[in-house]
Formats: sequence, C-alpha cells, structure tokens
Amino acid sequence: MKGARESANDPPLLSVRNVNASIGGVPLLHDLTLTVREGDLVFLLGPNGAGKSSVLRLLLGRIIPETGSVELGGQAIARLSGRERAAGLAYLPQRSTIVESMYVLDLVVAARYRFAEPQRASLAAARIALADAGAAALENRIWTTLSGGEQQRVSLAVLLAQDAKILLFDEPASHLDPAQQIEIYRQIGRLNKGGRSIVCVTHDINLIGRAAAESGRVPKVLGLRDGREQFSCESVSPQLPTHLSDLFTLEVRRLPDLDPATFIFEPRAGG
Amino acid sequence: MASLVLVGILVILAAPFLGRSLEGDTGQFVLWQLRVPRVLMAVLVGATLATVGAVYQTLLANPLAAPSTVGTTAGATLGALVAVLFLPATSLAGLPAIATAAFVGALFVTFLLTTLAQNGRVSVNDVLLLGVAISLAAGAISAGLQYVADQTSLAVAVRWSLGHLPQVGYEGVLFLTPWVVVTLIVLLRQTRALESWIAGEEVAHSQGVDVVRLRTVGLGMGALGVSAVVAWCGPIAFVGLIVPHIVRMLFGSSRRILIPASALSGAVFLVACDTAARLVFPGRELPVGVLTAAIGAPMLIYLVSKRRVS
Repeated sequence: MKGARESANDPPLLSVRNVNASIGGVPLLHDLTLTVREGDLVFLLGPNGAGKSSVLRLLLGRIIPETGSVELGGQAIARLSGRERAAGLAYLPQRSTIVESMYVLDLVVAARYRFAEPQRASLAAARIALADAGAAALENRIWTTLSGGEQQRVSLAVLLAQDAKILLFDEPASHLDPAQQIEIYRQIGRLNKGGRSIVCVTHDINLIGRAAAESGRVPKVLGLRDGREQFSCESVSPQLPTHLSDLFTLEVRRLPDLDPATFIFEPRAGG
Repeated sequence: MASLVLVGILVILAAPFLGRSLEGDTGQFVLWQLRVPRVLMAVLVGATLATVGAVYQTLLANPLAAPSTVGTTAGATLGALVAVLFLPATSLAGLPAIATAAFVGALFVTFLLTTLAQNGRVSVNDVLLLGVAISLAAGAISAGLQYVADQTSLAVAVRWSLGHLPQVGYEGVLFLTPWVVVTLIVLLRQTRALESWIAGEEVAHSQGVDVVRLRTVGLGMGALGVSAVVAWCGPIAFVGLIVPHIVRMLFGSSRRILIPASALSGAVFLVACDTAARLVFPGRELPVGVLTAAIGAPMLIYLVSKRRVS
C-alpha cells in the first residue's frame, strides 16, 4: 500500500510482503503486499471469492504463507505467542456461531483471555467495554435472545475488551438493516479516531464514507480479485470509480455533490 | 451455591453409613473395606466422567457428546473382551488382567485420537467422526467375538460391560487416584481457553488461544482419564452426558463454573446412584449404570420442562 503520509521513521504495525498462500493445493492469495500503519483505516473490497476473508485469516496467522512474510510489529506472526498476537489483532467474524445460552458478560470476559489478571479485573474491564459499546444494559442477557442490533453491540464490546491495536472486521454490516449498517460503520470510524487501526472487509463502498466522517482520516481502499491486488488508493482518489468498474466489471460512477461519497453501480453496456 | 456444595459434600460423607447397621468387627470391615472404597471410587469416577463430558461437549460443540463419544470406552470394552476370552492369567503385572487389557485398548484409541487432534489441518468434526468410527469398529469386533465366545466368558464380559463400583479394599482407589488427579488438574486449567472456544475456533484463536493445543490437550487428557476409569470399573453410562446438562441448567453456561461444578456434581451424583444401587433391593445389588439412567434421565426431563414453562 502506498499512502500519502508515509513516514519512514514509523515502523508499520502490520506488514505483509509478497505473500503467496494456498490451502490443500488451491491457491488463495498471489503476491499480496499490504502495510498497516498506526491509525490506518483500511478497507478491502472485491467480488465474492476474491480472497478478502483469506486476507484476514492470513493477518491472524490462521493461514501460513508459502512465500513472503507477515509481520506484526516487526516479528513474524507465526513466531508470536497467542497472547502477543492477541495484543496486536482482534477479529470480528461475519457471523456468530454461538449456539449455547451464554450470558453476555461471560462472552465479553472471555475476550480478556490474553490478560493474566484476577477475575475481578476481567469483570471490571468487561463492564467498561460494554459501556463503551453502548451495551451496558445487556450485561445479564443471554446471547441467543438478543436482536441483531444488540448482538452487534455486544460483539463490539467483545472486540474492545480484548484491547488490541488492530481491529479486523469481516463484512460487519452484511446482515444488518440500513440504520444499523450506518451505525456500525460510524462506530468503526470512532474507534479509528480513538487510535485503533482498522482493516475492514466491506461489501458496500458507500458505507466507507460514514466511517471516514467520524474518523477524520482518509481511508485507504484495497481492491482484490482472484486473490490478487487489483488496486490500492485513497478513498478520495478520482481514480476510484475507474478502479471499481474494473474490479466488479460494472459501470461505476460517483454521484456528484453528495457527502459522504456515494457511488452507483450499473451493468456494463452490452453486457 | 456454596450451600449446594456443602450439601454435596455431606452426601458423600454420609454415604458409607447408610444401609445395614455396622456392628463389631464385621461392621468395621464392611465400613472400611467395602463401603468407603466404593464411595471413594464413585467420587473419582463421577468427577472424571462429568468433567470430561463437560469438556467434550464444549470442544465438539455438541450437547450430545459424552466421554464415550471418542471411542475410548469401545476400545476398553474390546480390550476387556479379548482378556476374558484369550488370556488365561487373571493378573498381569500385579493388576487384574481385564483391567490391564481394557486400559491398553483404551490407551490405543487415546493415542489415535491425540495424534489426529494434533494435526492442525484436521477439523474438530473430523476428530469426532474418527471417534465414532472407532466406536463402531470396536463394537463390531466385540460383537463378533461375543458371538463365538463360550457361555462363561460371555457372562463375565457382559457383567463387565455393565460397569461396577463395588470394591474390596483400596487397590482400585490407589490405581485410579493419580490418573484422576492429573486429568482433573489439567482439564480445569483449560477453563479460560474453553470459554473463548464457545465463540468458535477463529474467535478463540484471535483472542490468543492456541486452538490446536487446546483440543489436543482437552480430548487427549480427557480420553486418558476415561481410559483409566473404564479400565478399572467398566463403562458407566450417562454420567458424562447428563451431569453437565444438569449443572448448566442450575448454574448457567459459563465454563468457569460449569467445569468445576461438573466435577463436584459428578462425584455427588455417582455416589448417590451407587448408594441407591446398594440399597434399593436389600441383599441384591443393581448395576450402577441402571441407577444413573433411572435417576439422571428424569432429572434432566424435569429441568428441561421447568425451563419451557418459565
């Protein structure tokens, strides 16, 4: 990623260099290079099957690169202990797979795993995280009884309780209603403003502006297709509509005079 | 909850004194050589089976998982059957031949299981499938052997497979205690990691849990403890399946409470069942497996129905 404000003195938080990865012989990622600096707000876009989720799994250390390197704070991720890794990266999956009747508070406390602290401290930190996520009232509720929006707030509290430098989101709005979609992206923006670095796989370019407005930073956008980087630029780049058109094989235009930036997708002529 | 713990401990302490009165030297013998050993066995076995059941239900994300799911019980049964049919000696290396053979059979399965669980490329579901496959294979071989066995051997084998806690003396207690203590300590230390596991492997990994190590230790250590228990006492059904559910309905789903509470509740539950097995028909012992089902199943049904109404 080439950003406008590269400072050679700041080591990147997360550095992916020329990574090739496959699973069971199926190639997933080709020659991927990605840098996340402190305070970055990065969005990954691409059609289904482009490898966006694989990038997140690579960052988490769940996928081992065949060639190239993935480094967190200058150290190869595979060499870090689980707790060191958890201090750097926290992950919000696309869908929750919790089927048991867990209490919300216990779920948030579990995220404190990396801290060797007494139970009292975990409970206190969990309650703070719930309050920050606007879910303090849900503490004694059972997860499976929560609405979609309530689960989203609790998931955010779980993420905050882990207190990691970089937050990874996998299509955080894909199953939410429009109001909730806007709200989660604004939350992401606020988290970024508060100092967390963000890597977010997104399915909707128009939501990026919501995050940018809250954060005050210019987001970086990385387009992926077939496991390869197609483009990387800032979200305000005038090239973005062209990049998006090539990425999705559609006609993409930016609608004028709208803030935040809004793009419209149309089928290609003759297609 | 502290009061329930107290009640549980009292139940365990009172158990050896229930039943026919103890008088004189015979009474002392009955108390110290017959009743106390079997209560201690029930504590060891019950705590192990229930804890392993709770851990397996978490790791395999399956409320129907039980200590026998991964095949150790089937391996033990096969080993015991082979001993009954083919080993003339009644003791090997100082231990009863059946127990030793059952232990070897169960350990072999434990070894297969741990090797597979350690392979990061294998999903937890595949490990579960292996356990089921082993159970079925061992069961088929056992059935075949039973078919060609003579009547006496068959009777011994069937008796063994019903499970048995009655003991004379402390040989069993001395054999089991180290295995049980190690198993429980190791499994209890996994409690925090298991709490993270509930949200899924990806989330647990991102929270810092070594997921491959957790499932290897959880499945492997659990299988080891169950191997020792089943080797000495035969299969005792339902404890590992039912007790975690009862505990969960009474005390909630947090692993921090569920795992230790399962250990204690399993001990109390099995002591209660064993005492009932001893007293229900005076002069005749019922196999404890009958009681675990007879007491455990209605308890579970009652708790489930109470939840629906509220």
